[in-house]
Amino acid sequence: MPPKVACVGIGITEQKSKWELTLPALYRRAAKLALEDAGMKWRDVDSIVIGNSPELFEGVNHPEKWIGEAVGGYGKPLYRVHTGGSVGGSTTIAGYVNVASGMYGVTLALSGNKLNDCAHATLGLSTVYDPILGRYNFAAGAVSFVALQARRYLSKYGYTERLGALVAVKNRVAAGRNPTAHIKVPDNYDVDMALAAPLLSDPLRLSDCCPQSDAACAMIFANESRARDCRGPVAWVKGACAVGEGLYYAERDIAVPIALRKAARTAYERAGITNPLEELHYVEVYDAFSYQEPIWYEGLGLCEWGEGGHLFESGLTQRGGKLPANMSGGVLSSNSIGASAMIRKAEAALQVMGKAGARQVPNVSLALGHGWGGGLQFHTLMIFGRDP
Amino acid sequence: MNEPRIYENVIRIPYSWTTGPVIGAFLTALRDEKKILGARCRECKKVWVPPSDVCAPCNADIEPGDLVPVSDEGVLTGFTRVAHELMWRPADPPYALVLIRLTGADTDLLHLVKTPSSLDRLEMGARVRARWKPERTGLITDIDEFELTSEGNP
Amino acid sequence: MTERVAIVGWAMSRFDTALRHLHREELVHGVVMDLYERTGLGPDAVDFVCDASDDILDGLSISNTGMIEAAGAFLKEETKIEEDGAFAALHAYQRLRVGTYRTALVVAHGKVSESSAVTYSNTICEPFYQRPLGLESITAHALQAQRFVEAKRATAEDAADWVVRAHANGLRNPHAHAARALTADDVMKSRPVASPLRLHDCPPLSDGAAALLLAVESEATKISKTPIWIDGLGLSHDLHYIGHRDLAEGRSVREAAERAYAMAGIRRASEELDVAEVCGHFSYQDLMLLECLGLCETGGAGAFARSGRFPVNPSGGALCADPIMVAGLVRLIEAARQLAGQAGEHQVPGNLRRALAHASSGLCLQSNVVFVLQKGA
Repeated sequence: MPPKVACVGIGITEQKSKWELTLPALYRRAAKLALEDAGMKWRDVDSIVIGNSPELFEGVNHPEKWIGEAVGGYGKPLYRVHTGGSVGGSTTIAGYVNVASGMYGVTLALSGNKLNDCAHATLGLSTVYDPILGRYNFAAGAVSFVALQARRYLSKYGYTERLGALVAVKNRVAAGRNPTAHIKVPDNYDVDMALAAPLLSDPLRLSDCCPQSDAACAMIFANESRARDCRGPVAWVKGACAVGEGLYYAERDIAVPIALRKAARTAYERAGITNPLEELHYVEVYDAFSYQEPIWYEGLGLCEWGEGGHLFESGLTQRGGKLPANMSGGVLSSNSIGASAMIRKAEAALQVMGKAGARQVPNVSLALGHGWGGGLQFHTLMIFGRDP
Repeated sequence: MNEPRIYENVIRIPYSWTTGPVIGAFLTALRDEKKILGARCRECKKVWVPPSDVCAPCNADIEPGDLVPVSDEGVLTGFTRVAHELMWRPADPPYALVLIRLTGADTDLLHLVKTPSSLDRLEMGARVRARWKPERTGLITDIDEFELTSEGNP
Repeated sequence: MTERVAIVGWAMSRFDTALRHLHREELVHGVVMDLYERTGLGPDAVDFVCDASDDILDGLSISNTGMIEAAGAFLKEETKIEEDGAFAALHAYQRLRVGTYRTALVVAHGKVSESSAVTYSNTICEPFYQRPLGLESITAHALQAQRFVEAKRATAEDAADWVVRAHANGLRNPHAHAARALTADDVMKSRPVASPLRLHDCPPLSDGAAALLLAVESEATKISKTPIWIDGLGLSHDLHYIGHRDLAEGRSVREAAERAYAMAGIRRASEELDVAEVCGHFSYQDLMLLECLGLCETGGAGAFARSGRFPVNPSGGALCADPIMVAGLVRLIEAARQLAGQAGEHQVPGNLRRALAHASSGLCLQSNVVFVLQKGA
């Protein structure tokens, strides 16, 4: 059995269009929020892990070299993780591993991006495409690549655009209760309004897509004895896993995330979960685009392949339902890429700690946070519980 | 065996970097006042030039109110005469990248020496002074270079 | 108590100025397949894959997208540490200490021939103060070398002697593609690059990839007859702006070494270790590392190296082959090879029991990792 590790403090900066702070200063803000939340000081931190996604967003190579000293890294063990959109998740896992390895008692994990330091973030993102196989000819940006996934999902299982609109409504309205969320919608936001939004890349409408945000998130992990010293509630790590699948392999179906299925099975095994739909009380999935939410339900094994849309339509994952999902507003409402996969885990942990404010779901003692990255390839998961 | 095909292209991406209040104030002072500012840490009193958002050893925040002027004169604490071709060189060779301890600062500023007569006399401790550009835009290169101020030994 | 972790296998690609016939994924695939062949294992034996590469060097954001297939990580747990492969090895070591995994594959690559070393290092600098002045690896290390010399800790002759020795070692190492027979005179008369650095004080440009297999004790003894235990590990981080620190202090090297030595129970490095592989990328930097790693006293690096009493960089070090993002991992591999008695022509003779491997990240030794390895019980 691996040693018990808890998340003892969380800091999420406001997720917005342009933070008038440098990248290091933005990370520092998240770090300070987390330290305050944990009731800890800089000197209590033994090691640091920094996540940041494609350097071409902020235009600084090895950005942890610049960020490190602003987050208490001077003289401390520190390294960087980068797995694209899932970086927040990989960094969270690396933070957990730092402590679970027995090498450190308290680790500060931080992840973020300032998409808006890049004057043209979609152009920056186009560098994810292979230069020989398509970047300069038809690099599609994130939107169009995921649009292919959405189109495949709809045609494979017979759902309609209405499904995307329903997801958009749930998450965008939920964002109203989240003080850090980027995009807020009017109270009367409904399916018709979502369906009236302009098409960006068919079938994805503006309402189906995430914004470009600047944000940073920090999570502090501690071993059992340091966690027990903390005054407030903590969230124990019950299981974590990150699995990747190939980018271009022949039998690939981007609407069937087999890597997520594998990651979920492994994480559930580690957490002792046999029936996730029954046993989990809360879920945060990385819904950069609306249709992804039901697809990720399937990958998480909450339902069979193809049933994600029906699960959504059943209302089970709405506020007040059996397994609320993305009450933070999700990535659909705020997406800095770098922080987003960590924020999914942070939101899950906050729910377990009872610190989710107006978006708190009652009686959450087991929650899961997900993240994806790369060419819809890397999936990261962390499950938190109230009990060690 | 066929020769491998090589595909060449470039990545060109525009940026708009936020300087934040501290670095922003430093660059603004270069542009508007021909002044170099340092950050005095409220805890250890060390004056960091150029300023960052934090005094790392103290883990203390630096805010615009912590900025203090330092002299635009100082002494050389390091130098290297650059001879090799660099893609992003700031000047045509010969030039030197130098480290300068400005009077009033507790750290060294990185900058350039370009004038041939100065390049010939580079030595540790040599006194130098900033030569400002007449037209400035709020960049570290608003200082065109540093030039040696004294003849012979410092 | 979790199990000890050992290095149980490794592989290195050919290193060269330009590996034109190999796409980066082929390069990685090749080195992973080589490792499997040498260990008699396959992807099924690997629980976790940790890759290392740099997006800007690769000119490809999220540069591990193709690595899933190339590194045999399909449907495996995987992550990417965007630092030199030695730091990925550090992360893999941590994973194995958790107890959930039994084996970990580390693979790093860098093809500077497809990109620009200057862009790679210039973009490490923050955009306001250093980058516009064109600071990059060579000029930054020139300033560090100049400071080191001004502090009277080494002379140009010391550096030249070091280069001669490194290349002489490298000539016995097939991976040291840039090694050649040099005299001190050759070095001191070579083309000035950025004072005090001359051409031969600087590393070559190299493409390459390397892979390492780690395992927990109960698995390690099944895989390898000579598991090399990681007994000590230390890591530290210094300030970023080049003028904010004393470039010749090497603070984070000292801290990383202290931590690794404390963990391994080492009190006097030069007496308790038998060989070291240190990842300086410039002659003066290697000398500075000898001091900062506690192998010799301040100012004594030149004499220490000349005495020949302690083998440092029998591989030739990064001066003879410097694949970006890989060179540090190569130091770890070379140190392990020495202990395992598998270093071929550049094997240090004798019964070697403990080794040091060092790697750095960032400019002027900003971030450093130190490993202490042990053979046998």
